[in-house]
Amino acid sequence: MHAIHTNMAINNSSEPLILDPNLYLDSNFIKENSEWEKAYKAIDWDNNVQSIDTFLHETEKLVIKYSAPNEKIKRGICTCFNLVLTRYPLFFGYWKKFTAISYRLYGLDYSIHVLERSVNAFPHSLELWCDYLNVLVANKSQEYDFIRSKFELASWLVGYHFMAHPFWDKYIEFETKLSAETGEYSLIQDIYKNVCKIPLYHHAKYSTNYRKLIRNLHKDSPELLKMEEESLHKSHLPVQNILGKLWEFESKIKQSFFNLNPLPQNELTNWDNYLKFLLVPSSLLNSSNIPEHFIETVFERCLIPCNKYEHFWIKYLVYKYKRKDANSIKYLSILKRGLSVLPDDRNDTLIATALTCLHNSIFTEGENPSIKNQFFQSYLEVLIDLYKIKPKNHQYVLEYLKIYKLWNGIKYSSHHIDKNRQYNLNNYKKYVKNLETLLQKYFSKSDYHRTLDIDVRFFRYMLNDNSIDTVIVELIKVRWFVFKETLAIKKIFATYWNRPQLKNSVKFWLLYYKFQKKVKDFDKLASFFTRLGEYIFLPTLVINDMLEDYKTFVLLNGNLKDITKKSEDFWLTLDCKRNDPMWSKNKIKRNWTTKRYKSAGHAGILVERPESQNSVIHRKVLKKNSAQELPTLKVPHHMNNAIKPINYFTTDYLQQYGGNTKMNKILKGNAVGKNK
Amino acid sequence: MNTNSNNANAVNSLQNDTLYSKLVNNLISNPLRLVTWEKLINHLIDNYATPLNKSLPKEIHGLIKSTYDQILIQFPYLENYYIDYAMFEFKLGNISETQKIFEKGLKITNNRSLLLWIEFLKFLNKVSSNKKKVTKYYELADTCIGLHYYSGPFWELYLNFIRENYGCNNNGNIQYLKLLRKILEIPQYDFAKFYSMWLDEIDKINDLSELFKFAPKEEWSTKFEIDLQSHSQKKLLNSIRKGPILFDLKQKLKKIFQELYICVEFKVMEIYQLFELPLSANHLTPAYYYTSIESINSKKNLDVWLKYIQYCIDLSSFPEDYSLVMLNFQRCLMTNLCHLDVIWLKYSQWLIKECNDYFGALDVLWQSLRFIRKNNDKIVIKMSDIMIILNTTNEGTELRKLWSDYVSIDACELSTFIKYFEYMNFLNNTKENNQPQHKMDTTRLIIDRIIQRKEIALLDYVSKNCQNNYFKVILQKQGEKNMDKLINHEKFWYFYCEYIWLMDPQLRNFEQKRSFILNNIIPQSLEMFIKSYTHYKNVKLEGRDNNAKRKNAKSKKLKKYLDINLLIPMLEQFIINYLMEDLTTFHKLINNCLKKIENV
Repeated sequence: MHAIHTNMAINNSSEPLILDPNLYLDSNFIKENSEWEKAYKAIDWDNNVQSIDTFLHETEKLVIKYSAPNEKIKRGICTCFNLVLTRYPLFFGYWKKFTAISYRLYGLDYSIHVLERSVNAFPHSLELWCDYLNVLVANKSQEYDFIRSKFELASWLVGYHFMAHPFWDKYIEFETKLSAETGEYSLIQDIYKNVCKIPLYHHAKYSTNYRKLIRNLHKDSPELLKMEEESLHKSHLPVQNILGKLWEFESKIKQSFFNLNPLPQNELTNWDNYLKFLLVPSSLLNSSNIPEHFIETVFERCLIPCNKYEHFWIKYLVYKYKRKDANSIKYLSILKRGLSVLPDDRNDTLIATALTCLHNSIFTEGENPSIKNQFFQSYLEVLIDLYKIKPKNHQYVLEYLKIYKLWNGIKYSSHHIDKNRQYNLNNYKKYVKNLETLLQKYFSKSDYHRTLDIDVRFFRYMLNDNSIDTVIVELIKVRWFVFKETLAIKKIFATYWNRPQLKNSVKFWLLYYKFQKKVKDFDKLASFFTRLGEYIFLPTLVINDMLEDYKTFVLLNGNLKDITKKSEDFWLTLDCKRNDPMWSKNKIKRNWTTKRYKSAGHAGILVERPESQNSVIHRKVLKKNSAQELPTLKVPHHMNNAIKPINYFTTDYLQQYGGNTKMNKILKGNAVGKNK
Repeated sequence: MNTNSNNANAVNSLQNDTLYSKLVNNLISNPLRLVTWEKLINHLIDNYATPLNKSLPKEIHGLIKSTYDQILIQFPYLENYYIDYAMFEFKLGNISETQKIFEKGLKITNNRSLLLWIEFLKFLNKVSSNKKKVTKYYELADTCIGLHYYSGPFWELYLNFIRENYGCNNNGNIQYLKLLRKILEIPQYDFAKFYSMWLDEIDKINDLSELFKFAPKEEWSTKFEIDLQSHSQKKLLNSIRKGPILFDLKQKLKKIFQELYICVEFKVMEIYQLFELPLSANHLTPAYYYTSIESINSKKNLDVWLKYIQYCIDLSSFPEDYSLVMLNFQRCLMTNLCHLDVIWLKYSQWLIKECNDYFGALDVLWQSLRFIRKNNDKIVIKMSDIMIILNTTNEGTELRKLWSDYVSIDACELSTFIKYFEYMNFLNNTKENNQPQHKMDTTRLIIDRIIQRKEIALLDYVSKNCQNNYFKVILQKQGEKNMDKLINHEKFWYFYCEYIWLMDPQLRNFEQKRSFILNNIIPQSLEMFIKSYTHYKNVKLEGRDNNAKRKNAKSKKLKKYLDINLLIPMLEQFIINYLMEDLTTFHKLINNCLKKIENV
């Protein structure tokens, strides 16, 4: 029976994890454990590690309280841990707790399974690997091939940790035992050889042990022994020399674990200096002294406490890029990892760095077209991935166009000072045609990608209503600057100027404005400024600048007819739009129901004022001979109540006006949590 | 004979009056200090015109008159001096003169001075027998200052006037009650007083027939279900005791006005709490009247006034409400704040934005120029805009006069100068070459300013907006006094390149522009660069005799020179901004130039 349960638990957990403990715990249970429920609701995921700790502490109490829990409770408890650890897999302490609890609930096999999950989720944790291997050695000593494969994997992942001696001790102990049984010593020798090259804290211990081992093994052949000892000596000395320097930095690492709070500045500086030291090739420090993998391990270790610091991710990425392994695309995995942990507003530099690296890879490295093509494809893929994360960022569409042009040789073919620049007109023609079909298909909403050129087809993933303006602007620019076709541009403007997608595109309207200025079309300019703020919504600062520039332009180039053509007072209404772009002559509404009326005197606070609906204030009294009418009053019910300010940050307001803002999501999330 | 000798005496004593001459001297040196004027007028009145009677010598009378006139020209918003002046004339029996002074004061304050109105109406009550004429004045005052927060005294005056002139008969009483009824709705400081007057009037009702004075006949039947007109009802009423019915109706009437009271009280309290109280709380810096140009009101006062005005604007639901907005604009301006352009500009902008009253806006700005002599460029610019639209520039002469009268073009800031240049250009464009002699040489304007001031920022403007090639003109002046400094400036060349690229009408083709920049401008600028280096080196290296030392110093100097002279980075910036593909070509040019420099 017990075994069946365990299997079930293991099998189920390989499916997508369910992360809501309430699914397993019924209301009675929750009522009985109000403390736990309180802790669950109080979790502040982003800032407060204490709240998470309290929650898991309460969960642990449940285990103690229910000595023989039923399956539901067991699962509920496991879910609590999964909830925390899928979000923050770097909390190794909680993995340990989870292991202990799963041992208690489901027995040994399940706890080993949890440990395995832990090293998968957090592969660079020395502690977790040691735990895992300890448990394996103690309980599954028969499956030594399996255990050995794990040891080998761990030696790559955590073996180059400066403090990795517990692991190596374990490994050596394990292999020594086996070799004593089989009498085969080559493996253990290899391990020692390897260890002695790594700058470890306990380096001396291993070299002494190794020497002892060799002396034992080669008792009979002194020549071999001498050779081995010499090679050991050779590799031992430089490592020994470097240890002191490394210790300077290693000794200053006070917090090597992950936490939600910001890391103290001196820790950050130390990591920074450490990495600088490792990366600067000096005479003392060349690649033979420090294995490359050691540096990589330092990076990985650094990224545990500095997980949320973009700076270190960039450093790592650049380091990987400069290494130029056979398969350089690998450095992109760092971009992906970085993006998954960094907050949305703090990853732009990392993205930009990655794109620059890729760009360089495509256009500078080697001549092999297939590798270049591979780079090009992955560049596009990265762009599309980024676009999914930040669909409002036009930058990626621009990047795409840039790279596409470069890739397809759409540029000047010659630029000698004395000769006129020549354009590859054929390439440009093709380019323009591609853009035009793309736009046409986009706006006709047809299943457009099939009819498109293969290169542009990629592009379809990136286009949405926010970014389509970039394509239009590009098209107009090419037509204007390369082909110099004024008529064609007018046609394009006529096609697109009314599109709702372009209503708030600064790029498009600036180009439109510049073009109309160039051709001195005062009619078009006037109607543009009339529409500005009413149908065209640009940032106020941009509008202000445009108004300023337009006035200068008209005064210098136009005459009275030009400014009064549209309407007599058009010229004066320009100033009204400054800092108030929505202003329009027809729009002024005056009555008692407007917001402006209700909030007069106290911005943001709406007040119902009592009014006399047949006011006689403005009458000339002495004209008529009969009495004034009696007042008809509009008196609000709660006139004497305190005035309430509008709270612009209430859930209702955001749901109504905020759309998909981040704040809205958070608020919605909280609301859901509270309902339960 | 007698008066003549009197005059002679007065003039004599004036000539011997040392204090008087001291005060006059003071005044000449500080004509904008109100205190010096006040001292003078007080001295004159105390010593030569007390006690005031008709025997006042002509010369003295003329002197005091002209002093008053001068004060009021210097300080047009000194309301109480108009009154003093008028009373001075009144005491001398010059009725028409008195009225003229009041009217002048009212005109200057756009009929929106409560103080002047009250005194003027009191004066009219005393002297005028033409009831209709005076009533007209009362009605005018009603529309202009009736909504003033402190208009209580005016209304009392008005009510008294009605009572006295229209009599206590039935008709007069109705007029009186109608006016009182209107006052009830005005949110003003003394509102409660008028309510008690109104309730007293209700209490005085003795007969059902008097009820018509308080509400029209129709309303009695609709609201109180009592038809005082119909015959049957009258009969019915005659047959029963009317006392209780009357009492009941009075109570109902009172209740309606108690509700009105609550409404008005709300508004009065709102205005008082938000604006009038903060304004009156500040005793040291008066927020209600003008004192002098020297003590500009505190920032706090300005804030409250601006908020107050905005409040009135926001509340203006009907065009009739504009009168309150205008009244408060004027109230705000009749303090020391009239010397700030903010309020005047806000006033004119409001007239444009919400009332479409362009002539009014222009008029307000004309008035403002009386108070703002310095830093009035914003006002003049705004006026130019309006004048252009209203086409009142009179072929440009009006506009030009405005600028020459109120802005010193030679000393103004660059932004103002640019605006001036733009308007003049516009006038030239508009006139369609009819009268070339009226055209202003705008090219000359810019060139003069550049030569005189060497403003790089002006070059920036010119390079992006003007088609004329001013750079060429400047380069022709090379060698003239002080011009080298401008031509050697790195930005001069940057803007020259930009001008060619963006504006030059002669080179139509981008290729032509590019080659002109790369083949002409940049080499020319580098020549200048080398020349100025030679100059620089010669100055610095004099007195060094040791050859090796000299060489060492030379390379050091060059390095330093490259640090100081920003021409190369500036040109590079241009190439990066506009001609990215030619960056390598540009670097070649630079390298050649540097080699030449090393060989110098």
